[in-house]
Amino acid sequence: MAISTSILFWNIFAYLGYISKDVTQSLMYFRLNFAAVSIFFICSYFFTLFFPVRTYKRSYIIDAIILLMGSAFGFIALTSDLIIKSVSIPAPNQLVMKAGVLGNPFYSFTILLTLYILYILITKNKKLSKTDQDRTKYFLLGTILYAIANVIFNIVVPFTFPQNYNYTQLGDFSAILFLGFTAYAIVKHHLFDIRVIIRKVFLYTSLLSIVFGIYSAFTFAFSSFLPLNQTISSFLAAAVIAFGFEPLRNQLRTITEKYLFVADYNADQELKHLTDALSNVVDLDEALRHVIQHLSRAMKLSRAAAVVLARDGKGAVTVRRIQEVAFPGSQRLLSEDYLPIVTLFLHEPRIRLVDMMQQEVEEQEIDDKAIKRQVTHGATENLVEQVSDLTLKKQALVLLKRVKVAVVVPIMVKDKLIGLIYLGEKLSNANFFEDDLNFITIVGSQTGSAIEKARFYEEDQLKSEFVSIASHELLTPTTAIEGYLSMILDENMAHVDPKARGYLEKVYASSKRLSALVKDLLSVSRIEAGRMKIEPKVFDLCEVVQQQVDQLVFKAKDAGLTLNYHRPKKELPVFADPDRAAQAVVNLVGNAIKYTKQGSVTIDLLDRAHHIEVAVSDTGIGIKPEDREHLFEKFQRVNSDETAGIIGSGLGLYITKSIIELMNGVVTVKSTYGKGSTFAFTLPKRSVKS
Amino acid sequence: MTDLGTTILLAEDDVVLQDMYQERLKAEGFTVVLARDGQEALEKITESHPQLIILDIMMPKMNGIDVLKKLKADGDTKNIPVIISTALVTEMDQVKALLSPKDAYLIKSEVMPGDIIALVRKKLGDV
Repeated sequence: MAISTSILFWNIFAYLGYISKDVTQSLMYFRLNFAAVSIFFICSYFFTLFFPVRTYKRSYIIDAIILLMGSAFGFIALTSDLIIKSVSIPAPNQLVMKAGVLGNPFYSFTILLTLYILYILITKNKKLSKTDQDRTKYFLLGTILYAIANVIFNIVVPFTFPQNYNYTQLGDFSAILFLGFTAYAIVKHHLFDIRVIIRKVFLYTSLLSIVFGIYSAFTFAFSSFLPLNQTISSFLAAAVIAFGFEPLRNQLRTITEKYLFVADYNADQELKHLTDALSNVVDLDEALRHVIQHLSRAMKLSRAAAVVLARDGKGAVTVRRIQEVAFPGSQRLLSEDYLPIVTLFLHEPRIRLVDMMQQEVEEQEIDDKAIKRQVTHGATENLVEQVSDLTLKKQALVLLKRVKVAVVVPIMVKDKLIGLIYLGEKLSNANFFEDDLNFITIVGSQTGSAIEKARFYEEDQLKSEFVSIASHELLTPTTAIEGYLSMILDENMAHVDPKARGYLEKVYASSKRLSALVKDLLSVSRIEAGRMKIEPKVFDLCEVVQQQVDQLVFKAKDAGLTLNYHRPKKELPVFADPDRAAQAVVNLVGNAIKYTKQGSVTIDLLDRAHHIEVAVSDTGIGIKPEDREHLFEKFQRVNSDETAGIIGSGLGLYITKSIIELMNGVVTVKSTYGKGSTFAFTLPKRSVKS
Repeated sequence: MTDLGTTILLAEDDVVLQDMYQERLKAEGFTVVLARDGQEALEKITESHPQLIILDIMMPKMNGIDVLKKLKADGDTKNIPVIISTALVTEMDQVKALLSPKDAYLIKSEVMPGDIIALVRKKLGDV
């Protein structure tokens, strides 16, 4: 900004100086001209400290000298005739300027400073990345040409051809060349973001106008309405400005941002799209792909990749999966060589821009030198830590530059680092703004949730697969055992002597018990994992109960009991899973038979308002009140004299309760110790929806 | 009873169960052709033209479901009654849709060899 302003003034004054017919006026203008020149050089010098990248290795002494000399020359040029002695107009359109005593030193100063500035710019340019070098080369080219033109026209020519001062006009106006090249660099190669420039120009112009307006208004107001003199009014007005400046500036800033900074992408919308896309995804790779594709598309990035970390057996972190978009060589991010980047983020997880890292490294190197000086004087404390942190940063920086990454985002879950997102430069070569970084940070946390979800799902899948496989494996041998025993004992396909038969019967019973237990365990694990499939439909409960009763009647007979089923005359439709309903009936009736020494088991179906109730009553041993509490819990069995010989897994009631509840029913128990019990379950008559 | 001439194809990958079912079926007089995986099952069906197929679901190379699909798609085999056998109820759901009234399914851990014979006879009788 300052440079442009000073060049502007430089040229304005030069022009005024030329056109002015009055010698004295012309002289004044030229002096102003030279003052502007001094300002220009000072500004240019300080500019090189910020451009193309900030330098921290400054020599304050050189800065001070240049500042001092520049100001001195400018001041002298303006107020005395030591630099410009006089101006005379010997003939129309011909101007002769006579230089004063300090004229030559001034010129030498400007030439030397120009050379020095060029030197700084060129050496710094060499250190830039390729893309940056492209950006700046036009700017540099413009600068160099301008400098050369100026030197030639303003200095060389007047000395060799003292009469012809007109050529100097060319020198001054070659500033246009400078501006031209710079403009080209800005627009074509995004040298500085043009929107930033427009905004700044607009901002400060309006700011100045408004301030000036307010100042005048207040001054006028104060002096008109209050009995104050001019000075005090201006002072008060200035005070008003002082207080109001900052808020005014912020307000203008927000306004300009709204109108000039229409972002390339709508962050809210993009986030919504991404959330929608991720909500249906449980596969880890798919989730990662969605994230980087969205980021890459929204911000028009040259490349993007996401990696997920894992810990190996020893607790060391490794990089596992990777998904990438337009990222050749991304596989390198998985290798051990690239672990320093991960380590850096493990130490301090925050979003990092590679450019900023470069600065930080340079700053730290300077600090380090200061620390090292301290060390030699005795203070050692944090030196090692700081030095290793710096080394890590440098390593990471080198690696990141190698893969042309511009931004790295940590993916966190519960304050733990679980992955990283690597983003390349924007295709437009524009910088990453605060809005961009905010957007990326939100996406980073969304990615964390998506990865967690995918992991849970994966684990869940593995768990249920394990149970399936385990059950499968356990049931196969028991099937074989029971099968052969059945052929011997039930079908008499082989002869066994009575004693052997007796033993084999026991084996058969144990085997049945074992397979029943395995099936129960499988049910329990499916219930716990939420994988118990209930396929409800409307069916006649009476019929399903009947089918089970037909089988159970034999069991009752074997136990010396009567099984009574009081089947209702009409159909009683319910909305439930028939297989599961049957399972509940078998469990309750089976229990009733087990726990009844003599008498009967009776099944009743009752039509309630919204449910059908199945009640299984027995004349068994009954349940004590204290035992009732834990009846439906896993592996709960009553241990008493009466129940001593009864075999069971303790899972039946838990399973029954769970499946009935999954079908929107309830299980109840009524019992009198010593007399008998009634277990009942209900099922809804129709689905909840209808 | 001897049923010479009735061939049954038994596809079962577990050796112990294979022996047991084969033993029981032979005792009944059936001719039993064995297959240990889905591919072998298809080959042997084409070779031996069985009157009934007992098909395990969990088999290597090609599982019972894929075998069943192929059988139903082929004109020569779609009418052979199939008894699907499985260890777990959950596997059944995928298969039920493919079965016709001529077919049946059984859960190995719940059905004793004697009951299997009864089911076999029933399905053969239906043909």
